[in-house]
Amino acid sequence: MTLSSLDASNNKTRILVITGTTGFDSLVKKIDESRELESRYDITLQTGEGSYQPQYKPWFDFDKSLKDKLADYEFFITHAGAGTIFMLLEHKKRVLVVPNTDRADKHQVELANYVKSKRLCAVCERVQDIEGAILSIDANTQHLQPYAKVEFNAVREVLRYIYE
Amino acid sequence: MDISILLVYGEGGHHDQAMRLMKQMQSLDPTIDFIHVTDTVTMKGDSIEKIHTVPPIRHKNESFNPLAFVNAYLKAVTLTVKLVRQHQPRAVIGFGPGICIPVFMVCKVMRVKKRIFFEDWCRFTSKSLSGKACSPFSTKFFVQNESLKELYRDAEFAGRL
Repeated sequence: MTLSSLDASNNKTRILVITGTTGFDSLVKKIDESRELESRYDITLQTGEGSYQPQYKPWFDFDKSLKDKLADYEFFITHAGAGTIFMLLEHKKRVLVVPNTDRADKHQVELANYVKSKRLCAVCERVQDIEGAILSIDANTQHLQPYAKVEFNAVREVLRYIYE
Repeated sequence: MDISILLVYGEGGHHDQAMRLMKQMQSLDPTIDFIHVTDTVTMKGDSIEKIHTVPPIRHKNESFNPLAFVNAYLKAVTLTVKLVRQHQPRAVIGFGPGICIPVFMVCKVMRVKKRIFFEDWCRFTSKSLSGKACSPFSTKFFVQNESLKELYRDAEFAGRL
């Protein structure tokens, strides 16, 4: 199934789950298998390179034009990948972050702690708690702070340095 | 002659950082010739011409495999030697992950004078493997989060890409 086959005509709250290229099997499986969520939410799952194939919810593995489809969703659930999180925050989206501790390296916790401490995103630290976190996603993401990015300001300096 | 720059990055956030910097640089100087070295094929087809792929140094979902590591390392070394000879890049810019390590080492040995490394933007309180290993081979080192300046003494913070 692809993103474009989504039926946008019903009024359920639309949520997109983004796992990045690596995939996040335990999260995708947990959300896919939760039948309770289906009555309230229209959830689309990204699987990335994960091996679990969702049975109950629409899914896709990669979509390069994801950025152009952000307006189709009310909430975003994502692994704590910096590329995804900063992209969503720059677009002022309401985000629930689940650090991917399935990975061999555990550094996703660092970024999750940062966005939590700055109140930029809601954070669900453990995959097993995700159902409850989604059921209260509206309340959890209501009081988040806007992301004020400090733009990279050394491009000229980098060019000068390379030319010299 | 237009100048060439080697751009080295992995997938996901590393790739995003590289594309952001490249676009900013291109807007100031469209004549720069970027030569891409990446360890993933998922991003291929971004209408980039000069793109070379190497195997990843370690796979994120698998435990460390010494054979795969040596193989990836040697392939990256060979490719870098070839690219440096062929294009004589003025600079190398790396974003992680580990694949940057052999590339930066070769660039230092082959006297690519400007070696710029950007530490991963998901790092706030710890160093990445590629950041740790590339910092001695770098001539300029940027961190993307101010808190990291405490860990990297010679690093610069100039905002986030």
